[in-house]
Amino acid sequence: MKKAIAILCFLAATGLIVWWLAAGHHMWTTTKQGVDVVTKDEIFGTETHTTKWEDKLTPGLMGSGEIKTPADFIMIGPEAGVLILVGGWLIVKGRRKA
Amino acid sequence: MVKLASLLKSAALLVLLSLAAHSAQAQKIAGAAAGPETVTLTDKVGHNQFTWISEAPMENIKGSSAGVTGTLTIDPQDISKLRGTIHTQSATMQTGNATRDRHLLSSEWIDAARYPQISFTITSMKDVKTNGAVATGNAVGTFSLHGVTKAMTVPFKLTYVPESEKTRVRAPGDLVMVNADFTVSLKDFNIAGTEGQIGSKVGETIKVSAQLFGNALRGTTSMAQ
Repeated sequence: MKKAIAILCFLAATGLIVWWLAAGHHMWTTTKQGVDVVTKDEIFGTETHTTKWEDKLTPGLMGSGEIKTPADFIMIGPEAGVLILVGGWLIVKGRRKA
Repeated sequence: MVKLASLLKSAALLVLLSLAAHSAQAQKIAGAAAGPETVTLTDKVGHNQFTWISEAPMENIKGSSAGVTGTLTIDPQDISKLRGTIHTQSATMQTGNATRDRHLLSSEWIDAARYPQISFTITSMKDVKTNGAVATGNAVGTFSLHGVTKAMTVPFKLTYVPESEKTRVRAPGDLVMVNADFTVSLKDFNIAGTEGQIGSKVGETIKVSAQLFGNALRGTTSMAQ
């Protein structure tokens, strides 16, 4: 049982790290993303750029810096670290018992 | 022999006159009326904003600021006479992370409460060239940020569209669009930030892009929110 929980912890930690890497491995969790909207302006005959801030959760290593919304709990570094420690502790404990 | 010398002189004079004429034309916007206008920056013409990027080894941060206001005096027949001031409100800066935004506006960084505006005042123009409705060059002036004012030269591209039925749909008067890219060194403006962050999490220089729109009414030139 302990071994199964430890494996789950390692898998969850790996999943969090993969998510963090895939999302751009940012330092801080962000809840909005600046999207560059390019529009062809017919009057000026050129493209214009507008940054629009859209709601999008991007996980960061250190969280958002404060806890106010559920998204602020996403902090890959501490969470993956705790999962790895718990998984390691369970494995060591299981071996000692055996 | 005398005839040849005289011919050469005439040819040289013609070349000089044509160069002078070309040089005088070089700073004119094609098809625009002469005389100074006041351009007011306004979102009716297009979305005024500054976007910026901080690139550092540990983090790249993208941000924007709005609340752009300003007025420019422009003579489409002589772009080198363009003058004016552009402001953006420090408090409108955002980066997509509310906590980071608060830090950015705090006294450690921008200190938006004490220095609510970031401004650029154009005092002269350099290397102005025009091609049809587009003028390019360098705007020379002073940039004010965080209570510090420094001389700065900003390369720009200005597109000028004379008033027509099509332009009146957006705003009255001639329409102006200005694009400019420049960099700001935080150290130059006494922005120290949180200890150890500049150079690791925040870039020492910030790349800024400005996209400004305004309408020019004869006798006046400005850019307003």
